[in-house]
Amino acid sequence: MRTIASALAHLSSMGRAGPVLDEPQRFLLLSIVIGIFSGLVVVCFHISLELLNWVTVHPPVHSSWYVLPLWPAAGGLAAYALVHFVVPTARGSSVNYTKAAVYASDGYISFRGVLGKFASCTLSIGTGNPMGPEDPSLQMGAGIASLLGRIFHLTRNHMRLIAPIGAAAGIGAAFNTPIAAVLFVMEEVVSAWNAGVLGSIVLASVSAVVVSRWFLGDSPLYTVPEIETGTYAGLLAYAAIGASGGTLSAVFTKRTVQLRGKVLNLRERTRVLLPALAGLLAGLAGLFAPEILGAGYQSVEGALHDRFPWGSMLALAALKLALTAVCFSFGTPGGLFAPTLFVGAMLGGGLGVIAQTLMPGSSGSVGAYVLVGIGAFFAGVFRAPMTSVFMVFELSASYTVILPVMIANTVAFFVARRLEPRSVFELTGLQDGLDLPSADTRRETPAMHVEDAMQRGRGRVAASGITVEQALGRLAESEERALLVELRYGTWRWIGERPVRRAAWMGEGETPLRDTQGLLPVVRTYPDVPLDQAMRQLAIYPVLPVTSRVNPNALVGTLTLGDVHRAYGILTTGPSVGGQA
Amino acid sequence: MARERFQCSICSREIAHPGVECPYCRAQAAIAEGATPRILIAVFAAMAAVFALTSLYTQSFKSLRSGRGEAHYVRASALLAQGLYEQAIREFRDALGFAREEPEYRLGLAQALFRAGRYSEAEAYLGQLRGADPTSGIVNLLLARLAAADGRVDEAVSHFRTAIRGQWEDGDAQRRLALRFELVQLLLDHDRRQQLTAELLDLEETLPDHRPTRHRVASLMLRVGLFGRASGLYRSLLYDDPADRVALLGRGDAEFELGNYLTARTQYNRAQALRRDGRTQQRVDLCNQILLLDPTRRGITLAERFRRSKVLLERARSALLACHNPAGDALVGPVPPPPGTLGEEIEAAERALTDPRARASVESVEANTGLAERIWSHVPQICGDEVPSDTPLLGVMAKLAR
Repeated sequence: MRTIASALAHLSSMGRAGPVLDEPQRFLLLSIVIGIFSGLVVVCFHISLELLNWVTVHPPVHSSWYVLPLWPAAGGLAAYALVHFVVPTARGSSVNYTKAAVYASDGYISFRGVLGKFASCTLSIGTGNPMGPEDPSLQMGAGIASLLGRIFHLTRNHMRLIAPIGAAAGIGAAFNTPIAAVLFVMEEVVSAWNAGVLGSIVLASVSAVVVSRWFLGDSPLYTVPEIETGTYAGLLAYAAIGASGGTLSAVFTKRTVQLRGKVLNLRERTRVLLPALAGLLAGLAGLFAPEILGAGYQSVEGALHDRFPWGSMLALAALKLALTAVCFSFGTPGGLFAPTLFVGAMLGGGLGVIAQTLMPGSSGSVGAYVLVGIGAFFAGVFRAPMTSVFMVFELSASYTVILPVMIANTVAFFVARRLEPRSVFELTGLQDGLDLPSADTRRETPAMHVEDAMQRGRGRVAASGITVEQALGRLAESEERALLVELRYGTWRWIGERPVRRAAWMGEGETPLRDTQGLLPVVRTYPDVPLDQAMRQLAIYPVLPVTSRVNPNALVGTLTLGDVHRAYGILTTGPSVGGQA
Repeated sequence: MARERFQCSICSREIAHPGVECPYCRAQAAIAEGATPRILIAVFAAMAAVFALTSLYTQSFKSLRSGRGEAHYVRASALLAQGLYEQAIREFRDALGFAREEPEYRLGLAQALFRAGRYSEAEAYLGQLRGADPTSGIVNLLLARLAAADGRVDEAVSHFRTAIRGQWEDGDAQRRLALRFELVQLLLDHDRRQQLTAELLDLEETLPDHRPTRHRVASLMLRVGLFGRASGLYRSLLYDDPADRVALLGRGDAEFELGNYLTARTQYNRAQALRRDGRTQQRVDLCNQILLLDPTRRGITLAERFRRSKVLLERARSALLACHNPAGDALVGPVPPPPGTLGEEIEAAERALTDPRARASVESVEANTGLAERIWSHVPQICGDEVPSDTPLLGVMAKLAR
C-alpha cells in the first residue's frame, strides 16, 4: 500500500515544476534528443540542397549555356546578402563558431544562426558554388544542441560541452560516418580527449546517423570498387601522395588565408558583390568542367572507378582548389569538407595513375590512390590525422586501404604542419578575432607532472624519533613551515609549526615527535600525477610524500607548493626543480 | 526597499529579471529548475512534429526524385538496347544520381558497364547489389559472366549456381535451364570434365519434356563421354518419334562408343533409310568391318571364331610392328624383336600364327585373343601419339578392353 501511495504521490507531483531527471541523466537523454533533432534537420538540409540543385545545375529541361554561370553567382549573392543583412550569426566558419561556443560563450549558439546557415548554405551550395554541406551541418547540430541545453536548463559546465555533442551529430548525419564525426569533434572542436563528454558525443552521432539513414538510406557516400593496394614497394607511391597532399594543403591554407585577409580589408559594399563574382567564376568553369560544381560527390565516385584520365584529374583538383579558395575567401556560405575530399580524390587519382605507369608491377588500383588522396589532403587541411584515417575507412567500408592511408596521412600531416604550422580554421579564426585552442597547440604543450616539480630524496622527511626541539630547528629551515614525519616504513604524517611550538612551550622539548599531539594524516601522490591534480591536494596538505607506483611504501621524494611554484618559474629561490635534496 | 537580485542560469551573472535574455551570454535566462515533465513533453512533441514534417518532405522529395530518375532510366534502357553503351552509362548514372538506392538503376548501369567492357566498375556495382540481395538471380548471373570473362572459372561456376537457384522476377524455369546450359558451356570451354559430368547428371534429373532440350542434353552427354546416359536419352526420344534421324544417329554413336556395334549399325541403317549420307554409310561400313573381325560375337561357329582370333592376333602384331619399325623390314633387314615381355609375346604370336598343329578350340581362341590383347596393351607405349590406322581393329580392341 505504501508503495502505491508513493507512486501516486510521484505521479501527482509530475505536473509541478520539479526536476524529474538529475543532471547526468538529462545530459545523456539530451544527447539522444540532440542526435535525433540534428539528424532530422540535416536530412531536410540535404533534401533542400538537392532540390535546388535539380532546378539550377541539373535542370530537367535543357537551358541555354549562359544560364549555368548565372545560377552560382545569384546563389552566392543571395546567400551572402541573407547572412550579411538578416542573420549575421550564420557568418563565418562553422567549426570556429562551435569552438567559440565551447571556449568563449558557455555553449551559447544562436538558433537564428542555425536557420540562417540552413537557408544561406542551401542557396549557395544548391546553386552550384563549389562548397560543402558538412560544416554547416556541424553548426546546425551545435545550434540545436545549444537550444536544447538552454531549454533543459543545463548547468554552465554541461552547456559548454553541449555544442560539440550537437556538432558530432550534425557532421555524422551529413557524412554518414559516425566514427569520423566523433573523432573530428574530439580532435578539432573539443581539441582534447575528454572522457566525460565522449559517451554523449558517440550517442548523439549514432542517433543522428540512424535518423539520416532512416530517411536517406544507408548506402555509403561513395560506391567503392574492388581495391588493390599493390606490393610493399608500392607504398612509396602512397607516401609521395601524402607528401603532395601535405604540400598542397599547406599552399591552399596559406593562399586562402592571405586572400581572405585582403578581402576583409575591402569596403563592406565591395564585399557584398564578391560572392557573386566567385559564383560567376565557378559557373564559367562549370561550363567546361561541370564536375567542380557543388559538393562533387559523384565526381569523386567517378575518380574511384577510374573514369577520368590522370591529366583531367589533376586539372580538376587544381580548378576546384582555386575556386574553393576564392569562394571561401570571398565569403560564400558553405564548408570546406566536400571540396577537400574532391581535391584529395583527384590529386590521389591523378598521381596514382602516374605511379601505375612508373611502377607497373607494384602499384595498386586507382581507387586505392583516390582514397589515400582523400585522407592525405583532409589530414593536411584540417590537421585531424585520426579523423582522416577513420573517415576513409567509413567512406570506403574497407580495411584494405588502411595501411596506405595511415602512411600517407601521417606524411601529409607532418609536411603540412612543417610548411604551415596552423590549420585553416585556426588562421581564419584569428582573422575573425578568435584565439581558439587547437589540438595541435595542445599537443605541443606538454602537461607538467609531479616528477617535474618534486624534490627527490628524503630531505624533508623527519624521523619520528627526533625531539620537539630538533623538529623546531628543522621547521626553521623549512619554507613550508611543516614537516613530513615517517612514523614507520610506509606510514607518514605531517605536522605544522604551531603544534610543535605549543609542545615546546608546554615543556615537552625533549619529547619524541611521534608522542606529540598535532600529527595529522597525509595522502601520498605519485610521480606521474598531473601537477594540477597534486595542487588540489596541496591546498589541504602542505607537504606530500611522493611514492613509487610499484611500491607505494617506498618514498621517492616530496612535493610542496614551493616546488610547484619553482616548476612554473614563479619562485627562483630554493633547490632546483626536480633536483636532489 | 532593497532591489531583488537574479542570476542567469547559464553564465551565473546578474540579470534584471527572470525570463529575460541575458545580456552577457544571450541565453533566455531563467531560474534553474531542471527538466520538468512539461519541458520533456514539449520537446518530445516537437520532435514528433519535426519527424512528421521531415517524413512528408522526404516523401515528396523521393517521389520527385524517382520521377526524374525514371525518365533517365527509360532513356538509358533504350540506349542500352540500341547498343549505345557509353550514352546509356551516362543516363544510368544520371538516373542513379536521383535515386542512389534504386537497385534497378544500379543493375542497369552494371549491365551497361559490362557490355562496354568496363568490368571492374560493373563488378563494384554488382557486388553492392549482391550485398543487398545475395539471392538475386540476375545479379549473380552478371557476376558469373564477369568472372567468366575474366577467366575466374571457379568463381563464375559458383555465381552461376547461385543464379540458377536464385530469385528471378518472372520465376521462369526456362531461364534457369538456359543458365544451366550456359554453365555447361563454360565448363566445356574450360575442359572441366568432372564438374561438367556432375552438372549434366543434375540437368538430366530436372529435364523438361521438351525435345530440343533433351536433344541438346543428349548431345552434350555424348561429347562428355556419358555414352550410356546419352543412349538412354536418345532411346526415350526415339520412343516418342521413331523417325527422328538425329536421335537415331546419336544413339548409333553412343552405342558405337559403348562397343555395341550391332545396335549401332541398326541405328545407322534406320537413319540411312530415312535419308542417306556418306558419313553414316562410313559408320555402317565400319560397324560391319568390326563385326566381321570380332571373335567374341555371338552366333558364329567355333572355326570362324578361331579364324577371327588369328586374324585379330596378326593385325595386332602388325600394328605394333608398324609402330616399332615404320620403315619396313625389307629395307633394313631383320628387325630385332622388342625387348622384354613384349618380345616374348611377339614371338609367341608368331608361333601361334605359324603353328600348323593349331586347331579350333575354345582354349586356342581365348589364347589368341588374350595374346592379341596383351600385345595391344603395349601400343600406347610403342606407338605413342601415333594411333594405328586399323580402325576395325581399334573398335574390336576397345570392345575387348571393356
